[in-house]
Amino acid sequence: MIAFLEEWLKRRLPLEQLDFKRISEKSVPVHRFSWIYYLGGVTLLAFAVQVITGILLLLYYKPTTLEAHESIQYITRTVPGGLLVRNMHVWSSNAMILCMVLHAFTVLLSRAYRSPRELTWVTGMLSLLVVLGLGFSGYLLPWNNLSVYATMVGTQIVSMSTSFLPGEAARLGEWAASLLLGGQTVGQETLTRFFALHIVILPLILLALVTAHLVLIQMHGISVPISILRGQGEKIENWSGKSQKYMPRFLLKESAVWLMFVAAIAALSVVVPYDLFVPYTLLEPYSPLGSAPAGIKPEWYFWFLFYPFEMLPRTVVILCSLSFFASMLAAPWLLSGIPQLWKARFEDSKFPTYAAIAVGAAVALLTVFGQAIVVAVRGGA
Amino acid sequence: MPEDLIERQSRRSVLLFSIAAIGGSIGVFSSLTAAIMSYIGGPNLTAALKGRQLEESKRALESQLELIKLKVERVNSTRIPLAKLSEIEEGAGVTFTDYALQPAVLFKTGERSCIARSAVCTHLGCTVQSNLVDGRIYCPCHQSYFDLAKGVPLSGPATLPLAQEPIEIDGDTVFLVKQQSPIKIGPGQIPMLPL
Ligand code: FES
Repeated sequence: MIAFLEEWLKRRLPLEQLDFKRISEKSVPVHRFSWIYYLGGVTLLAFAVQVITGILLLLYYKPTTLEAHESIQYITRTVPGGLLVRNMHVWSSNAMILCMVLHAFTVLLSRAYRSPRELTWVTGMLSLLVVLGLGFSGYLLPWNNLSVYATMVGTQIVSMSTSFLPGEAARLGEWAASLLLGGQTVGQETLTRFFALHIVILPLILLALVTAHLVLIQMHGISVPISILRGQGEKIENWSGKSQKYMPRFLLKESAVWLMFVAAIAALSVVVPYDLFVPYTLLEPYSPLGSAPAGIKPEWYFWFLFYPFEMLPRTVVILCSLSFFASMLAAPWLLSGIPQLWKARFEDSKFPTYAAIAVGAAVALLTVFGQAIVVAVRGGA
Repeated sequence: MPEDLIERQSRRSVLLFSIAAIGGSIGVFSSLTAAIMSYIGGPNLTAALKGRQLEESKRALESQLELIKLKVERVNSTRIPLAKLSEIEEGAGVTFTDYALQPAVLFKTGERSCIARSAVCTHLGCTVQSNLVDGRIYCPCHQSYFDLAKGVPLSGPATLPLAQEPIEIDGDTVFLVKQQSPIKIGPGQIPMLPL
């Protein structure tokens, strides 16, 4: 058993491969899907933009229910360059999630998660969860209608998330929700806690995960899509096609992509402030005596969860999303294990591709056509 | 093409590429740095701006004071005036905070009758709207509709009724009355919606 574990870990964490002098020798495979190799890097850069603009926002942001809303107004309206800084933070967070999701999807399609890179996939998926947590916690900080009601609903979902478990375990979610809220309702304690989560706790966890992710990539080298490897005919294990040096070739191209990203985000921030997309009533400061305004909706990256909540009983949605996240984490094992049920080899089986397309299509459909699906299912109302 | 030519060409393209990239970087980063420097420096506060800021702080503090008064009132009194009957319009409810410090709405149902309901949506806890939609109570968060008289959900994902709040009408004033056994909420525990 120990020997098995040792072997398993050695294959997944080949520490002897971790020689940073070898970064200069690192190479990136060249084939017709090489563009997918930029997505992870762009996500990483977006994270850097988030850290820098986030620190800048801290210069003026005030995390109290009394002043939070006003301090954001102050940043965007009065401080020179404030509009740029805040909108870069918003736009780049959106871009970060988009790139991360695309990155995960291309990894699924190209089967880059396959042994021995399972842990790279797991660290990536956990990072995605943490990033969604960052999106959720950051949403509360402006303390407007949208943010407070989103947090009410979100924490309520958390508090119900374990209600299907037996006995005392059913209260786990309640406990987690009260830990987040710090009181009976969304209030100052919640704001303080979300602020801490958003600027310290989650970024530190993300940093650790991303570091692990990068170290793993350094150890295992860059994966080649299985379809391309199959085209080689011979051994499917190794890439015998063209490669380019990471330094300076790929890095140069990557920097160019990064540069375009920063320029695009900066331009977007000045020309189309994010708030233009949100109805004004949703951005008004939250008042405990008000009610939820019409048109209330979470950010687009939560729509695949939001629309099902409009259509289905909440326990069903909660159970489905929990199993969805669990199976995404376990995807490398599931996708390679399931074909064996009908004695197919993972490398030859079409199943992992179909499963990836099905997941991607379901999430994309709910995100883009969720509203129409709700109307079709519920008949308008 | 001979090998060395390819090699030379690719070197040249790397060089050109580098120059373009470096030029672009300098452009983008110098303008960003300039913006960030002036951001860090902060605004030049004119007297008018300073005044507006103070006004704003005053307004925020006042609303905070209102909220604290409201909480104190809920702890100390057994009956709280909510609204003047003659001033409530049918269809347009009056939002208030109940004894559990949760949002609630008061609706006029007739010449001298009213009904008050908890405004905490039984689906996922949003605050329902105070304006009736086609005579029904509406939660915009996931489109649930509730019956005004019975509180039961009529359509949408909510499955449980909105609780009724105890009120009494005395002359022209509608009061919220404290019940004998108020809903108990343990410390640090959120009021759970039943499943
Ligand atoms: S919270 Fe009211 S419908 Fe979901």
